[in-house]
Amino acid sequence: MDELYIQKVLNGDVQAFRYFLTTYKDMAYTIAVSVVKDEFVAQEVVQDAFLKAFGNLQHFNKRSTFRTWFYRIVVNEALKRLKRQRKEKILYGQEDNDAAVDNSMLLNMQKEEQVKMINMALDKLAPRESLVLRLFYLEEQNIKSLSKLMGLSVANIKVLLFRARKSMLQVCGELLKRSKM
Amino acid sequence: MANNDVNNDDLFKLIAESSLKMPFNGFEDTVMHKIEQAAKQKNKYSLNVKLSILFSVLASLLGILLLGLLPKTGFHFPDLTAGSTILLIQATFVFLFLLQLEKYIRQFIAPKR
Repeated sequence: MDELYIQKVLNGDVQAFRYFLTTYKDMAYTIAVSVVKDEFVAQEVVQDAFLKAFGNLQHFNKRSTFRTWFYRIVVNEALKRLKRQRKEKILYGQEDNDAAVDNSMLLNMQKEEQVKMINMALDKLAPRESLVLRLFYLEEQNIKSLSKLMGLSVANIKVLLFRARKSMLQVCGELLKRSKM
Repeated sequence: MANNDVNNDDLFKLIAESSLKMPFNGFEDTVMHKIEQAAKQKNKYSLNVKLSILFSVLASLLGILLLGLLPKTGFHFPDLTAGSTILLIQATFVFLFLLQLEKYIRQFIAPKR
């Protein structure tokens, strides 16, 4: 389906680009907000990524899917914005805390509350950690495509994923502890 | 501990259900508007480039024609012989032609490498 619309846009049908906006805007926003941690900045990042994708569509070489190519643009734009703002703060994940966290309370919550809590926890993780978790679990990207998408080696992705899971458990535990108080 | 691992697996499965939605209404329209503007700019730019190439080719042809006709007219600048005048005009023409050629190479050939 993507190929058909790419061809339409390349043939001069600008309105056909709306298909990509409708299909990918939510995931692009999810990726962007994981990195920049601010919904307004994330919106700008997604907007810039779409404009960049439109401007470079003729260079899309079809060696990967449009989805992977576009998400790579979103990730790069988000990381570029983050670097510019020098906002990268590692809030969690630095401490080597092996304490087991019981997250059963989270699993007993209502669905909406669970999703809210998960998003809060992801928001508190370091940008690359929340990004890797979102892409791995939400987009079901495998390690190899994550490596291409994030511009890191397979070994680095594995380490990052391991650290991100650990940080996520820790943050969830702390959020649950706070909510109990 | 085993029970905790099961819980952790479930916890990560929850991430798969925590997709966010673009919270800004009118996002698509805003981006489409910008894309339409970008497309217009692109078309305008491409037309300008075509015109620039056309006029460069015309100017070069006219220049070559004039250089061919100049010796027959016997034209020369004050204080210069006809031969020196033609040499000066030829040198200026070649300089401007190469300058223009370099611009096109930079713009169209170099970026593709």
